[in-house]
Amino acid sequence: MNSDPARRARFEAMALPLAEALYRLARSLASQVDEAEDLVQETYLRAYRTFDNFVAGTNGRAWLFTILYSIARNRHRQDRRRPPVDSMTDLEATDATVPAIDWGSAERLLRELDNTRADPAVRKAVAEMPHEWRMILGLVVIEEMSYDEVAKIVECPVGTVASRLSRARRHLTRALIDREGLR
Amino acid sequence: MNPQARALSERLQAYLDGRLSDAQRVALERELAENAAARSELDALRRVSEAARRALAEPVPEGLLDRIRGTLDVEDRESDESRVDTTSGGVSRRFWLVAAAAVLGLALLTFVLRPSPEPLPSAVAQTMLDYERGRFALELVTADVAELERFFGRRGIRFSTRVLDLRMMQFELVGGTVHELAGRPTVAFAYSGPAGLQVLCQMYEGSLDELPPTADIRSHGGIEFRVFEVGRVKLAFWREGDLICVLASTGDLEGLVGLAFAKAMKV
Repeated sequence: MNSDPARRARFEAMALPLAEALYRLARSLASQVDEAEDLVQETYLRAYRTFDNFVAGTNGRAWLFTILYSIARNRHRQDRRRPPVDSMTDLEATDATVPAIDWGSAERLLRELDNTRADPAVRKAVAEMPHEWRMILGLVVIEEMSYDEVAKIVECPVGTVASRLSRARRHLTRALIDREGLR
Repeated sequence: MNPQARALSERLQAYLDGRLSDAQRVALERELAENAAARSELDALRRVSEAARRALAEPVPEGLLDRIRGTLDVEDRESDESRVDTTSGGVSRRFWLVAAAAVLGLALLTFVLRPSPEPLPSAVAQTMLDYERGRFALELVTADVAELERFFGRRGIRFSTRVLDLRMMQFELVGGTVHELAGRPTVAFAYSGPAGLQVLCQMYEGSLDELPPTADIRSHGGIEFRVFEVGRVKLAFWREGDLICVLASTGDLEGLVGLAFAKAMKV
């Protein structure tokens, strides 16, 4: 591939306006700011190299999110420093055995939440989630994508998107309830 | 959580995310009017989603767009450097044309006089080097074997591509593409291994007899492997039915051969 100013201009016009969304998503997957930024830059580089495969007029946002997810997933799998507990099966099994949430108390707590104190707790709880839950939470709750779009990006059935999202929300609620500083 | 509570939770979530039909929505709203616990759960789910949205909506770091553009500039420059520039350096175009003709003539003479040209190992090695330098792009970036095989089918490849999952060997599939190798349709797919080691696998219809002679012939599980070193690229070719499979990398030779053995035996 040789550089082509027109191609570069088309790429920038399509992709650069999505930098903020990509960064938000990367930030929900990466624990550090520089890790998230690196993920975004790698996404742009991969997207630029394969831009000739992108069909103009199709969903550029979903295309870029798919690339970002693919890179993040590969990095996550290669990072052997992570403890083996971060396995979907283990966490989903754990989720099934923890006590039910008292939604009345949860609602009261969340209504009175001090955002300044809550934000770090939310970020910590999200960072503790399995990679796939974080991605789904980010795509649905933050980017407001449909379950169908998300299912294509993370390559799983729509029903799995729904169940993982439900678990992610419950995990977050429990984490906020349990967080000593928020009681 | 009991199945009834789980079902209600999932309906509440579907309501929150706008996924219920009109009839389902009306039925749930009727239920909510009479069920305070469900109302609390819905409200809590709504608030926790807002908390996540707020906490994760960090501003983009200053200068990120400039750094992205910088990355694209580097990519453009590297692409341009791969082209032969016939006009640079203030030297006349005529000089460069004459020089190019002389080089071409010499290359042709060398080619004609060579008793045993090595088009396939050289072509595979060049692809590996291009991939390592980012000049050989993968059309599809995916770690999903089935998705990549479907992609090869869509790209007109009629032979069975047999992309293997090598995660047991600590090699992660990165993606793949279709290109021409020495004039024949070829699939190429890349793996990323320990310490970032990159391995490129290519498959095409052909025969081992097309390869130049090599002193390094290995055998494993009744399969013959022809091993080459072209510059710093190591290559292992073997036959899989009507196909030739070749693994290439710039890493350790024995590591590559071991990976070739493992891949060939998994078929």
